[in-house]
Amino acid sequence: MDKNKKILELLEDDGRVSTKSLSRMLDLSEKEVEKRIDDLKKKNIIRKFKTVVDWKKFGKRHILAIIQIKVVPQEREGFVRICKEISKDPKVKDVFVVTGEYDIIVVIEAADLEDISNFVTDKLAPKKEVIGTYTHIVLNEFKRDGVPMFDEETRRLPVTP
Amino acid sequence: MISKRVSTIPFSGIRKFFELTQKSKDVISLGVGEPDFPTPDPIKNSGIRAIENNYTSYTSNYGLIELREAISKKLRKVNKIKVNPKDQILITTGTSEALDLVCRAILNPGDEVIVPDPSYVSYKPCVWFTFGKPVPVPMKEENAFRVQIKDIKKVLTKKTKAIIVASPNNPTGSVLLKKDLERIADLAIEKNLTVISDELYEDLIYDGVKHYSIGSFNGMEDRTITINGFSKGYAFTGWRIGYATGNQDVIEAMMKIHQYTMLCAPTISQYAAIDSFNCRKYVREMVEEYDNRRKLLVKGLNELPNLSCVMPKGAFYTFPNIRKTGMKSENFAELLLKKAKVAVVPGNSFGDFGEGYVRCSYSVSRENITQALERMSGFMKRL
Repeated sequence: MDKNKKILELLEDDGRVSTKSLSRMLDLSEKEVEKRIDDLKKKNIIRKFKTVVDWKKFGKRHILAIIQIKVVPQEREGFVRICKEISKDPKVKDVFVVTGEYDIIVVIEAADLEDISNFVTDKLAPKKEVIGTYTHIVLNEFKRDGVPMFDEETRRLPVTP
Repeated sequence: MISKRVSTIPFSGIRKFFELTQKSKDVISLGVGEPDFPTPDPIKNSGIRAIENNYTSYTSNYGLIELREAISKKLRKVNKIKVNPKDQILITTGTSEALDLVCRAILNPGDEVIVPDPSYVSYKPCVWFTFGKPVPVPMKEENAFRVQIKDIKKVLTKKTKAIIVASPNNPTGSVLLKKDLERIADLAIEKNLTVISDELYEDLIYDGVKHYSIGSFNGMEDRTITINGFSKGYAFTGWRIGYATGNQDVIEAMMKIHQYTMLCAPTISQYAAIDSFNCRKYVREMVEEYDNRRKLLVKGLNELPNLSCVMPKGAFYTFPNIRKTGMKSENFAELLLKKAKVAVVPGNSFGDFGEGYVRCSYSVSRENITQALERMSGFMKRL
């Protein structure tokens, strides 16, 4: 179990780490590592392998927004149904139920401002349980999914005693 | 213009590789000798607070008493060394200064000092600067690079004044066992020798191996000078704080030199260092990551043709054997840098017995270790 935890930590840090490297770090055979990863995938503990892309650097225009939503909880199901509904939109990257003045936070990625506006006015606002929204347009990204989105030169000397 | 003594002492072999590496582009360097982690936040914050509070004047020659007290507590608890913080601990500008001071404090011209070989580049020069004579004792691969008492006895003479013990060792990563240290202690007592124990890498140790301080052994309290610091365990290299502890007369003599040449260790850094003892959590996390990298690198190196590598138990270095390539360490390292863009340090930089080896550090990200191994694999196959 402890080794599985370590596999997950190493994969979370670098989804492309090879089975060979994992087997070296964990003192397990490559077969055993593969088996454990397959098992973790089957159990949906590993949901997906993804890549953190710096789209700005690539030159693609995109816009991120963080939307706070205030909702009337529904009988028996609370926030579950609306959260699942919102999650189904492919533009939506994150959906969290949170404490505080607002109940749900959604992170959405779209091509332009119009897309975001459409999402809020056409998709969110008409829902009967939505009482209010508060949209933050992201101006600049510095870190995403644990990855710094800026380059910084290292000042460490390459060879030292 | 330069004195005979200084002009006869060669520059460190590492310097040449530093320059070569700086000239080439896109190099992955396994040549680093310092942590690649940042200094833990609580330590940084204490440094910042020290500046803001104007704690920027000199301290006592011995160093801040608060820091010495914290160190004495740690020595008692971790190293089983009991010393008075008032006059048995000297705070130095890095462990390097402590090494220089102890050599100058105890050596007369012609005195011999037994130095493990290969080992840290400064041991021999520090002995030379005092007109002493360093006498190398081999640390052999077949003994997992642990210095053997029979080899020490072979080089022992009437002029032997001291033995340097360096565990965990730079560049081999070897860690001496308790019995190794006990034998050295017995010999030191029998022959009336001083032991200089460099324990700078004590925190970086793996596979459940335990670090022992020879200065804590019976009869060794007064003949051991333990030197240590914060650089490696606490990612503190640039702050320059080390310390020496042991025999009160020796520490006082060291303080005399320090008083005239250094006055005191950097004050801001001393304030910052006080907080390091509350940062064990950070050290544990760093050690865990070094351990991942150690396995990644050593097992990877052992799969390369014509190369073999002992699994090191401490520090963050591996010391693979390259003899099967038929090349000298320096040629190998130069060619590896030129053809494969991977920087390593030739083993002979650490002493003649390091010939036939190179030092590869794993104070480098996992990604870079994997990439360096791929590059080395291509290089070794084409050799």
